[in-house]
Amino acid sequence: MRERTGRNALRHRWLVPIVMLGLVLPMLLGASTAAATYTGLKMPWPRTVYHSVTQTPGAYENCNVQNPPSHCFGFDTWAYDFGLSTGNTVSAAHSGTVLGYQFAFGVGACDVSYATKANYIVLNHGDGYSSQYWHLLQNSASVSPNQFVYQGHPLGGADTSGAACGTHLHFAVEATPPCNNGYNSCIGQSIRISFDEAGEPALNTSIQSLNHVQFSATYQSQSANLSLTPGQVNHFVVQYLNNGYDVWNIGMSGNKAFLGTWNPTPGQDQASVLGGATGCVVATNWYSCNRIRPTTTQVDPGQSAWFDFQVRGPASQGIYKLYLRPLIEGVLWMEDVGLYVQVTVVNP
Amino acid sequence: MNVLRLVSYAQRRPWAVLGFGLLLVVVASLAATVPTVAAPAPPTTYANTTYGFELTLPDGWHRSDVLSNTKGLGDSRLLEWDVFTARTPASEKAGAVLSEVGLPPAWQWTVEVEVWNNPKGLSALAWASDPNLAGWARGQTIKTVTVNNQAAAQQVGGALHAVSYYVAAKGYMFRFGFYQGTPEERPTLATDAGINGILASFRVK
Repeated sequence: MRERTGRNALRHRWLVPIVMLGLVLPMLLGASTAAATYTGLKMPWPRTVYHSVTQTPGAYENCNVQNPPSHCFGFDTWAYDFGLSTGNTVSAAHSGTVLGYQFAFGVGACDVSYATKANYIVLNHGDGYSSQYWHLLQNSASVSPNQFVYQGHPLGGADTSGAACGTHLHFAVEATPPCNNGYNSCIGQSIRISFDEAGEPALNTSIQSLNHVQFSATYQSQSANLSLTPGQVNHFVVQYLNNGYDVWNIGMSGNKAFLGTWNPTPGQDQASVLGGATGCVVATNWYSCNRIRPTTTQVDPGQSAWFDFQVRGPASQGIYKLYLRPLIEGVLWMEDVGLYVQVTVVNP
Repeated sequence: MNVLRLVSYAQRRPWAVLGFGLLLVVVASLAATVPTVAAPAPPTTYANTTYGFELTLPDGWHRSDVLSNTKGLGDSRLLEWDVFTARTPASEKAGAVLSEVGLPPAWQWTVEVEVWNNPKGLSALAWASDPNLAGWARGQTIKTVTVNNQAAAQQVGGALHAVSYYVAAKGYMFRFGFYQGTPEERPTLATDAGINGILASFRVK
C-alpha cells in the first residue's frame, strides 16, 4: 500500500511545478498590480525650493487611531500633503491641459461646512490621468481655461481654502475625470504616484524640487571645427534643448531665444569678425551683429532648437574663436557651457 | 344567553359564520399591510432676512445648521452660504465627515445659496462667465434664463454645482444651485422635482 502510494507520487511529480505556479502566479500578478505606480512627476513647486511632506498616502499613515488622518479615506488614499505656506508658488508636477478650476474662495477651516469652498485645479495629462492641486489661494490663478501648461509652469498660490486643517498643498493624481457635472465630477480616486526627485517620500521629509524653470537651455551638440580660406563662407550648427516650461518664440516679446556673443571672444554682446548681419563688421546671415536666431519661429519645451548660421573666414590666417551663450532677449542669459565656434583660416 | 343563541345560529347556518370569519380576517390583514398615508406637509418658506431672499422648501427639506455658514468667514467677497437638505438631522450628522477633497455625504444632493458682494454691479451673465469668480470646468455651458421672473444666468456642469444660477440684486450676487452626489447617498425626498422646485422658487424680496 505504501509502495503504491509512493509510485503514484513519483508518477505525478510533474504536476508539482504546475500546481506551484498556479499558487504563486496570482500572488505575483496581484503584487505587480498593487505596485503599479504613476511616474514622471516633479515636485509641484519651483525648482531649488524645499518643502516638507506633512501627510503621506493612507497606506503609509497609521489609520488605526481614533481620529485617523484624512488620507485614510475616500479619494485621498494616495494623496500627499506638502507644507507650503500662504502664497508659495504651486507648479505643475506634469504637463497638461487645464480641465477645471476654482479660485474664487477666500475661506477655509478644519470644518466640514467649508468642504465645497476649496480652490483647486485639475490638469489633464493627456495619458488618461490628471493631477489635482487643492486648498489654493483666492485669485491666484496663473492659468486660463483649456490652457496647456508644461511641467513646472506656475498654477497658483498655496493657502488653506476649503476643508483644510492648516495651510498646505494637497496633491494627487487620478484617472482623468469628466469634470462636466459640478464639484464631484472633477475629482476621482487618487492613485499611487512617485516623484522623480524623491520617489514616494516619507513623512516630514524636506524635498528640493527639480522641476523646470521658465527658461533653460541644455546644450546638445554642435558642428565640427571649421577650416576656411580668407573670405570663404560656411555654415555651423548648434543644437540646444528647450528645457524650461515656456516656449521660445522669435515673435513673442519676452520669449525670444538667441545665441548671443559672449566672453571672452568677442565679449558679451560684441560684434564678431566671423559673422553678423547686414551693416555689421562682417555680414553673413545672423539676426544682428551679436545675435543668432533659431531656424524655427517657435521651439516648445522639450524640443530642440537648431541654430544654423554662417561664418566667414577673416583675411588673416590664424585660429579664431567665437564664444556664444543662449539667452532670452531682455530677460536672462541661460546656461553657459563655454560653447565656442573655432575657425582655422588657412592659405587658399 | 346571547352566547347560547349564537352557538345555536352557528349550528343551523355554519357557512354564514365561516363567511363572516373570513371577512374579518381579510379586513384585519388589510389594516395590517396597507400603511397609513399621511398627507404631505405643505411647502414651507425659508426667508433670509439679512440678505432678503426666499426659497420654498418641499416636505422634508430644511436649512442645514451643519453645512450653512453665516459668520466668521474671513472673506470680503463671500458673505454667507445657506445649505438646504432633505436628510434627517441624524443622517446629516452621520454624513458630515471631514474630507479634504470631494463632497462628504452630507453635502451630496443639497441645495445651496451663496451671497457674494458685487460692488462693481456685474451682471449675472458677466459673473457666471468669469472663471475667476464662478470657476470653470471643461464641460460647462452658460446661458441667460429667467428664474421666478428674475433675470438670471445658468451655469450647467461648472466647477462647483451641477447646476448654478446667478441673480444680481441689491449689490449682491446670489448663486444658488445643487450638488450632485452618488445614488447611494441620495435621500428619498431629494427628488429631481423637489430640487428643481426649490431652485425655481428663489426670489429676492
